[in-house]
Amino acid sequence: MAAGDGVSAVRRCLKAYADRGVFRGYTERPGRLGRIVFRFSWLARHPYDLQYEPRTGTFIFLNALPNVPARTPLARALKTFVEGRSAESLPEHRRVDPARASVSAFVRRGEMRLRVVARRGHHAYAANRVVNLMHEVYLHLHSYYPEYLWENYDASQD
Amino acid sequence: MSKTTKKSSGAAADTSRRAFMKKAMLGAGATAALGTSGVGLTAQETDAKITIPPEFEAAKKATLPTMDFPLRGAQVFARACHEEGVKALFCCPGNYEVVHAIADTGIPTYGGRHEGSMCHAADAFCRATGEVAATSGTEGPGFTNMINAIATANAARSPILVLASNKSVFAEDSEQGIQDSYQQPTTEGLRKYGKRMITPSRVWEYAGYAFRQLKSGVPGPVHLDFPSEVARARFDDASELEYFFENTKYRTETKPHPDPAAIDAAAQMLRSAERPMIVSSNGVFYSRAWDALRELAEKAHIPVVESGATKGQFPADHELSADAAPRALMSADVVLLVGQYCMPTLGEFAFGPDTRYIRIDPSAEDIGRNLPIDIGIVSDEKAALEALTAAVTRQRRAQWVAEIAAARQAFETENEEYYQIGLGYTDAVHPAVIGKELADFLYRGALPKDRTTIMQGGYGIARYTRRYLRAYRPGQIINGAYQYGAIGPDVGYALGVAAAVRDGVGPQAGYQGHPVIAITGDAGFGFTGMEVETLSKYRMPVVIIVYNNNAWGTWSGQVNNQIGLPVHLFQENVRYDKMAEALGGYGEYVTTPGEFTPALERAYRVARDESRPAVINVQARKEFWLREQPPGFLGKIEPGVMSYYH
Repeated sequence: MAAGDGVSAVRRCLKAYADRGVFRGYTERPGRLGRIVFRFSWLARHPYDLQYEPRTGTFIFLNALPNVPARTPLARALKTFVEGRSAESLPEHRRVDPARASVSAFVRRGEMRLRVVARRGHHAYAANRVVNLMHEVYLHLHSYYPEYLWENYDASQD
Repeated sequence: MSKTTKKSSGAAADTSRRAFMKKAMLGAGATAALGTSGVGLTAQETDAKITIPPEFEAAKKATLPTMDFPLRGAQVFARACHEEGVKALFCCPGNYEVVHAIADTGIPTYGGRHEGSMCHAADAFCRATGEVAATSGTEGPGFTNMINAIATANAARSPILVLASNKSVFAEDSEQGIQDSYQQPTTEGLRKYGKRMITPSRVWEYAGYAFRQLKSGVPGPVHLDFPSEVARARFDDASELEYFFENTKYRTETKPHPDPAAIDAAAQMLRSAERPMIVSSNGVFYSRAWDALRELAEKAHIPVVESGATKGQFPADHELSADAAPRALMSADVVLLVGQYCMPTLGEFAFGPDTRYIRIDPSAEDIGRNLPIDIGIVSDEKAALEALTAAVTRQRRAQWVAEIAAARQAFETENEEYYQIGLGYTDAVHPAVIGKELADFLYRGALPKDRTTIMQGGYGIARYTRRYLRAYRPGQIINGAYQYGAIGPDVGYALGVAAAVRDGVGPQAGYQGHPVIAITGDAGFGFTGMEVETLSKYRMPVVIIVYNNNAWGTWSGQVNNQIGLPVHLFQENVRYDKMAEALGGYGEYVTTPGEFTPALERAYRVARDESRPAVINVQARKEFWLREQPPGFLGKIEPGVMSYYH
């Protein structure tokens, strides 16, 4: 698949979330080196920046998981959780198919970033998976690290 | 000195003191306070037993007065309450005309220690029965004491009838006397309908306004305040009332039915879905649609998860129950929301970003609020579920149900792991031990698992008990403070639930006489714990489990805030069990895991055999909420994970 086709498909995928009211305040702006940054609020009143690099089919969530220093128990736990999302034991609709995309998490400047890279031109699939992955991480934090959401997402402690 | 010697010595000293006190009180004209026994003077010195005054028994045996004209305004209103089937009144002294008139109709009337607690009791009564309950307080402080409870009932969409006396119309604005306040602006935004009644002859008409609101659409509190001119007005016959006719003339029992085109579209969406799920909430309970819910779920093979103020519309042991399968929620591709009145926003739901929504709600004005919908169906919940059942095709979704089963198994495995971890803490009782062993007692021991009605409150403790407790029939679990997030209604709630169970109202029929279980925390007990006395004087069999971790649940979020930390702490090892004993209840103090189940068994026996409340003060420690002491503080398992109780 050509990169241009990827851009169109990715735009359609993400715009559909905005049209359905899942994303709010949805915008798109050019980033560096041909990247595109999609900004929206979603799980919280918090701007999410989803950076897409059409050339490589790489999606990275920026600003999504602040204050996760490297080599901390939380960073390790999240990294393990994210990388486990390709496990065959997961139902197909909940996993990231390694034949179509790879998934990873890494820490940059004190924030954890989620990365999904499309394989063999599956850009729209990767776009869908990275959004779902973010939601999975959010639920995981809620279940096991609610204090992280209190402190970083302004979630109510009550 | 032995106790006996001390008593004997005390009795000897008592004689002259009693004589002195009697003389002094008689001198002050206090004959009534003394009564004939002089018990009030000697209780402290002789360890006299706590007793229930004979007036309670006499009240039960008293003949109800007839409610025929001539009637006062309060009596006209009380007659409307009776004819509309109000099932209970929870109040404190005040608003005397109205309270006594309602009691005179035979509506069970309970007086407690605090108007807020009584208002909470009315809320819980509604949630346990689906019926209307009233609550009352006096003007001014009695009314304002109820505000938090009104707001909580409003968030839970409970049809409570809030009554309060108020300043006479004549004296309005004057601050003459005491307790002057404008009530209706105070409850603005906290109720479905409110009215200060001004014209005495319209009292029956406004009862109609109230019951139209209480018995139709989305329920919610109705607040009426009674100036003395209304409550005390005298009507020699019905002709002196502006409107006076039976309720079939001022409201209807018919319900809105769904648009067939919307039903067809919803049936099609469900048919093509791979992993549909039903969220059953308040509206299923209030429209008594649990049979219709089950028929739809079974015919179309759709799992059901419960959300809302009351649980049990769908049995937890059904293969299609997703209540204990939180990890599967995000897999749903279509969600049918039925009667979810307090709607979480999108970011608060566990369902994923690709999920499509069908929403059934009796209020067109609410559909689409917070959560974007794909199909909206304005209808009574029962009517819509029946129409959907007729429209869907019979399907089997074996793979999806297997995924639910696997998620349920994973959840149970995790719960067992938490329990084993909890047992490892031997110097205090971990909340996982309470949750697991309470569930064993209720569901896997001698009791039928559907028998016990549970008031599931508390803050941190609820995050554990909700993992273990299950509902097997409608109205079996009444969730705590729900979306308003109030701390501490729980003992007030326990009174309402216990009254509902004792009288076998609505879905509580058949469970009369069986103890109720109530769960709260030490912070919560501090708000309404005095109502143990109310439970005791009405001989209510309730076992209250107090999770005592010496702190507010907020402590763990402030652990690094050295200066402000005491704000979040109590004294350690406070004896709530002794407080219960002092109020006429039974007390147990549990400090190690091994003591919990035996204490629960003893407390249950006392509650059942002696028909009185029992408090199990379970000593935990605040550090259980720290991440360093696994499992630590946990998230919630309901579909609306980021909301309070959805």
